[in-house]
Order: sequence, then structure tokens, then C-alpha cells
Amino acid sequence: MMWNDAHITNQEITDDKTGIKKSIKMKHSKAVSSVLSDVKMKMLIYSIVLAIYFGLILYAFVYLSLRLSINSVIPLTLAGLFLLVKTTSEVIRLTILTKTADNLTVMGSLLFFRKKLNTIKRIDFLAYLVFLYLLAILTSYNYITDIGGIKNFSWSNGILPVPLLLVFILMLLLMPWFLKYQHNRRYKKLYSDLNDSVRYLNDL
Amino acid sequence: MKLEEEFIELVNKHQGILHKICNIYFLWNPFKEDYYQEILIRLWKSYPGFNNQSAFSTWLYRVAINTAIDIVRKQYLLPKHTELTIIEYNIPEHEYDAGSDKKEILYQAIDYLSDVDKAIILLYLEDYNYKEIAEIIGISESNAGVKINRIKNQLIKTLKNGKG
Repeated sequence: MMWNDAHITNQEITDDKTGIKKSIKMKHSKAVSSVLSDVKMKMLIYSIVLAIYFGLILYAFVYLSLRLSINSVIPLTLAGLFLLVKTTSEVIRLTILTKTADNLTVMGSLLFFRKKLNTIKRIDFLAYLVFLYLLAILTSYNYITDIGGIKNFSWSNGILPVPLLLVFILMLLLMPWFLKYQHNRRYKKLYSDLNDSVRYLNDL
Repeated sequence: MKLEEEFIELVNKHQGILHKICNIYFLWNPFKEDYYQEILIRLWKSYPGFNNQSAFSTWLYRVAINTAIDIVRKQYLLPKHTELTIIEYNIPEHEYDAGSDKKEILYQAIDYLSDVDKAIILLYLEDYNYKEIAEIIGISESNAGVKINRIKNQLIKTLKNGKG
């Protein structure tokens, strides 16, 4: 057989106990390590900035009892949202890169990984859904308080044009679905690889 | 310590398997040596899960193939520099095309297969029977047989035509 012929003449594998010993002392190989530390570094930076942001927000609103108008709250919220999205996106990337199931069968490993990926997506979506819907409710509440009650709600209100507010709230309400779509798009190749492989293995 | 020595001894004895898997999955990859090391590390991490129910080599194939497929699948999540092609590395293509030795020609033909097919054909070429292949891959024996026949035909076609 061609395979056996090809390998019989290439049996020059030497003793490499030292190399193996050195390798297994490492957490990851050099290439994988450098990728993981890049992701970890990004995640760390975003987390620190996010923590500082939340710290300052809490300090301003809880400790100093600062009362800001809706006009100032919206840009602050957007900045916080941006940091949150970036941090979770890096956390997800790291989780996906480090998640493995090597001891299972090839099919089992594929199914395990696909299940994990879907769980990550579901948790991510639900967390954003709860957080952003709460934010939308709080923004509406803040606006209504700002204008002195629901009876003063009018399109010509001077504090913040109502259409702008509605766009912002609509954006908050649609964002979980947009992020879900982004997740699918970002990991499209991974999903299609997994689905194709599972389908192929199940197919007779 | 005993576990580590035992592992090193066993892997050292079977390192040819790892080289074959790396050649199949990372044939032109400039990080082939690195991924060989990564497979070793993940084998060591998985070793406590090896329960002697199967032969060590069977377990080794399963974990190493899973790791290799996992690395390939996650490649696109890695920075762009790991995805450079032969042309981008400025390596003359003819070095790979007109492989004169059998091993090279065979690896080139296998390279056209999907990741799962690569695993199946590797086990077949390593003289595993349908039942063992089915156990490692996680499919039925008959399914393994059907797939092997299809892959064999595809390989023959590739070897005859010189490309996929």
C-alpha cells in the first residue's frame, strides 16, 4: 500500500522524551499562547475601563446624588454600552478559543462544541435583553421625571426632542437582536463548519 | 511524577502518529511545529481521562484528531498572519505541486479532503477496522464503511488527476 510504503522509508522518528517533557510543562504552544494573551490583554483593558466607568457612574449618581438631564445621560449610556459590548465580545472570543472536548469521539466533540457555542449565544442574548430593556425603561422613566410627569409629554418638549428619544429607546430595544445577528455573522464560518460536519457524519 | 513519566514514555513511542496527524492537518502551515506542541499539551491535559479501556494509540488518535480539527476550525479567529498562503509566504508553488516522493503526493491528495474525511482516511490507512474507526469518530460501523469507500474513490480520482 502506498501509505505504508511512504512511511516505512520515513521511520526516522528519534527519541524526544526531553522535548515532550518540555512541551507538557507549558500551558499552550507559542503560537496559541500569543493569540490567547492578545485576547486576554484586550479583555483586561476593556474590563478595567468598564469597571472605572461603572465606578465613576456609581460615585456620581449614588454617592454624590448627581442629577443629570436626559440629554447628558444618553451619551454616557452609549459610552457604557460600547464598553460593555466590546468586553463581552472579547470574553466570548476567549471562551470559544479555550473551550475543548478532546476526550470525546470526533462527533461527540463537534456536538459538544456546537452546544457550548449556542449556550454562549443564548446567555449573551438574554443578558443584553434584560440589561438593555431595563435601560430603556429607566431612560423613559428619567425622561418623564425630567419633564415633570407624563401629562407634560409632548412632541414640542424643549428638554429633548421626543423623536430623538424614541430613536434612542428603539435602538436599545433592537440592540439585543442586532448583537445576536452580529454573533452569528462573526462566527458564521465556525457554525457552518460544525453544522456541515455533523450533517455529513449523520448522513449515510 | 509517575504519571508524567508513563505519559512521556507512551507518547515518545507513538510520536509518529502525531507527526502524521500534523502532516495531514497542517501540511503547509508555517506553525506546524507549534501545533504539534499544542497537541502534545492537550494530550497531557486529557491524559487523566484515559481509562485503559482502549489501546493507548486509539486514545491518542482520538484526542490528537480532535485537537487538530479544533485548531483548524478556530484558525479564522486567530490574527491574519497565521492565515497567510503559500504565495504570501513567497514559497514557489512548484515545490509542492510536483511532489516526487510518494509521501508528498499522498499528503497533497489528502489535503483536498474535509477535516472529518481526513480523520476517517487516516485511521483507515493506519489499518484500523471499520468498528474501531466508527468508535473513534462516533458513527455507526456501516456509515464508516460507506464514508471510507467514498473517500477512497475521491482520493483515487485526485491521485489520477493530480488535483481535487
